[in-house]
Amino acid sequence: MDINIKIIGLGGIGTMLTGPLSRYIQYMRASEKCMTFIDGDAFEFKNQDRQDFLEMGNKAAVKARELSEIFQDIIYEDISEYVTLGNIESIINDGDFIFLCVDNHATRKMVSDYVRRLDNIILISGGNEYTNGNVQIYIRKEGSDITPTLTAYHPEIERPEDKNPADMSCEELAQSEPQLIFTNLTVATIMCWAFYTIMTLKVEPTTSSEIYFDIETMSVRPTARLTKS
Amino acid sequence: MNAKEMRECTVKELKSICKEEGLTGYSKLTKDEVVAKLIANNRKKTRQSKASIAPASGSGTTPASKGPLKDMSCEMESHKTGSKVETMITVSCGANSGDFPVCGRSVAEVSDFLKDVLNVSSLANGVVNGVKAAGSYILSEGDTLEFVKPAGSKG
Repeated sequence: MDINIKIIGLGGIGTMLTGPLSRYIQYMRASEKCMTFIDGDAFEFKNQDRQDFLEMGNKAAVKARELSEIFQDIIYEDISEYVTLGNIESIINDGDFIFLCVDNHATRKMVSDYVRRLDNIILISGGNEYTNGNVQIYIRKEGSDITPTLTAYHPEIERPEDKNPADMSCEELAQSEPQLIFTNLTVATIMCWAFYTIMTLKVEPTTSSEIYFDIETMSVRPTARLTKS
Repeated sequence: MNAKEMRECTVKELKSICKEEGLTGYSKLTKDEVVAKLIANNRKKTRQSKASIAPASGSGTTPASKGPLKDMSCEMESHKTGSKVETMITVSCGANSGDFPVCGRSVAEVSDFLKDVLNVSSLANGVVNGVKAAGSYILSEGDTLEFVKPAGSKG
């Protein structure tokens, strides 16, 4: 078995994900283990309360370098670009296992629309507000949807009001709303649950294709929806 | 407490009574409006103690409003024993979920009544048994209702 993981977005959620995921994959039985990090952003000190980088520079490149020194059974690659319509075909391939950890619905929409055209894909997408969030699991197999797309029940993703970072000005990029590290961590944790369920337990989570959580009420709730609504 | 006694209470005291009675939608009302709401609630309680409420029949119709959430019980008569059983339906939004006596109510009515309890956004779509449902859909025994919470935008 080969393991080929792609993580799009190395912000609060992405950086929480890479360490535990790498440690787990390091000790999995597989002939080849590859993790690719994709992000066009650079680490900024203002995000140090949530994001863990040992040096300045592009997030994908820095994190790939850091982890390759610790987990030497894994081949790390980095793509120091935002995912756009111009490069998505070269980044995402049929059969990929993708963690989508971006901070905007515009990119979620773009990735969701693209992977629907592929025959086989596993897309784990996470997002949060300050103290609550959700993880969506989209699985497509041999040209058929096993679970709903990211947009099927979410009009705010189908018709995003925000922008892809590649389309934003420097001023727009500098603006960011505060986030809570524990919320990012919870999203990353649930994404790891999905990875474990699918890759190790070999179970397709059709009865929990979306998982919500709320830190304030200490609640977690999986939900099942039909692929055709 | 009769109307005269209610008018002798402060607004704060009246709203506290509303809370104890399980009423909703009173926080922004004037004193007269709160008194009227409590009087109406007392009358409904009196009526309910004398009669059972039958479920609405057929889908695609919106039954007449029956008042606050706790008055929305739907009693189904068991054919075997003749006893009346209150039918609860699981309603959820995001990580929050609960069982409520909303059988026979439309999705739109339930959204309005539970918006504060479950923090339902006015933009949330209703999904019944995993399928998108119109606001006019009438809930029946065995249904589960979810108001789809918008996805987290940040990361």
